[in-house]
Amino acid sequence: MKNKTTYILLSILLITLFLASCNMDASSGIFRQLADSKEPLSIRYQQLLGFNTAVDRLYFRTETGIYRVDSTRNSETMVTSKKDSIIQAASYVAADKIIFYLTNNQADAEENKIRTFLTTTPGTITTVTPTSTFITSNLSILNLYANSTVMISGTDGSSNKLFELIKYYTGSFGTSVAQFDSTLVPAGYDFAGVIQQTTKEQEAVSTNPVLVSFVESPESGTGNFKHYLVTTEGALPTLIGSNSIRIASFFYHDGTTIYVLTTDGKLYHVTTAGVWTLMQTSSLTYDTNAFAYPVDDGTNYHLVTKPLDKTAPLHVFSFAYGETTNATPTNVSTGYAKDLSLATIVSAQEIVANHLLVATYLNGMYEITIVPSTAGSNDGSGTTTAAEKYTF
Amino acid sequence: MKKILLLCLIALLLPLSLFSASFYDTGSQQFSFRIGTNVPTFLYFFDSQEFKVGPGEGNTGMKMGGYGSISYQVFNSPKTSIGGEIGYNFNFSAENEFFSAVPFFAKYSYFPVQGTFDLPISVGLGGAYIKYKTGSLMALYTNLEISAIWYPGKNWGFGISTGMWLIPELNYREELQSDNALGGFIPITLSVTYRQ
Repeated sequence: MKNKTTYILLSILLITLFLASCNMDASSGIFRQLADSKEPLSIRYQQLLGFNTAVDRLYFRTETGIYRVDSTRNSETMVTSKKDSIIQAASYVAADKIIFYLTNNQADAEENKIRTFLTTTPGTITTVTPTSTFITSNLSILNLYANSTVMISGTDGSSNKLFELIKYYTGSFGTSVAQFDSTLVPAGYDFAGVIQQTTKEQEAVSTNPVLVSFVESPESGTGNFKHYLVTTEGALPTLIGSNSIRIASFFYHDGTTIYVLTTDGKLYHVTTAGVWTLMQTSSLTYDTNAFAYPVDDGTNYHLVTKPLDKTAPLHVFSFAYGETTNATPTNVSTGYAKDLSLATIVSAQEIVANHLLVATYLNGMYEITIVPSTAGSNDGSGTTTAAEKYTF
Repeated sequence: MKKILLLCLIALLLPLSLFSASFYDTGSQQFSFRIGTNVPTFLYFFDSQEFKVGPGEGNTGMKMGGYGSISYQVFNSPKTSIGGEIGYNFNFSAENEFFSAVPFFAKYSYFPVQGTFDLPISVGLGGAYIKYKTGSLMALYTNLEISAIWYPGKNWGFGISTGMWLIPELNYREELQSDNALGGFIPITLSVTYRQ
């Protein structure tokens, strides 16, 4: 009996030890995720709109509306979302103290109306309607961007689809930034999105270019993309790629080089001549316009990214200046990344280089400082404030 | 303080054990249902040597949870029994995500006091399937528990138990091994036991 009991217990122990070697499908340990979990905050950020540096105010959009906060974190409501007018996108033009925003309001959509108000009189809301000399038929608004542009679509006389990025900014309303006719966007393709560089969303394309992607309908074609680089207002956009790659984010290095992060976790070196060279592959996935902030340490770049998986730590691609074929990946979950590793980053605002405000969907806003030389090391360097304890 | 409590416990149980008559015979059986709560007590991360104590954000990150189980034991001597238990444990994390553990383990119990009142001390060893968000792991599991069971009649008893569970998270993937940790939970459960 004694032997039998011993055998049973030993067998259970051995089976358990075998099972204990089973793998898990996560990017950090279960107990680590639990220990780092944070209570959701009531504030759910969607977009940081920018600073009014003259009076130290930050404007931002949340699930419930548009607000501003001063440097002591006293907040003030600018406009709230309503059931039939939920704010979808917004832009703040600091120079003119004006906010533009799009809602899901049916009448607004049918009449192509963008709502706007001066931040000095937030209760007085008016509307503006974009016009274009390039698109004169079936004009409709596709989206509004923080760099004072709006993407519109329509048709030409032959019913070909046309797309145009225009300014809606006061004083230059309707000025064309980029036009996409049927030569650039062949039949079967449709608008996929505008990709902006992290923390550069409010800057003009001449300062910080954007990528505009169009996708071929899988029903009528291969589902391939056409990616255009827009660097100069009014100039012909540059085709940098016709491929099946969906771009998540990018870092515009100079006039000829772009580092492109894809939604399936790959990093490419891309030239404006359209040569794509794979630098690094990962098993991570990214959302469109994912957080991808480049840190320059003097000899290397560290592209600090946040994967789509909420449980994934920050993933940093490090590569030397001029490197085209290789990048070193590192998961960073300590130091500046401590509280961001288990959060969904929705927007970021640069206070100065490597010193950011980072807004998350459920966990509030953090102020982080990255040490350039150790940005790609999980060594605890850099700092982060607690949620909602930021200053600027 | 812990040592004093342990000594008091031994001082109480030893004489009872030595002089109490055996109620059970070899071959006697017990079948129990347990239900109760568990207190996430500590997490110890081996690599960083972090020791996080207590429920809630900034500590173990877990809130008080629940536990239910069934167990079966057969006496291999008048004072000891062997058997097994399978249970289901859950806790919500600070961010209100669901953590679950399914412990299944062999159980060895010593009954120093038995009869109208049973005071079994049990040791368990087995595994626990733990899951949180997209992550899951088959982990080792061990526990030490003490129970007090009152039998108003011959067969049915009602009891209360507490103790300590230990779940080591030993990750196989190299990139996760820096998160290897030991989790400790204190269960507080009520039980219904049928014996024969």
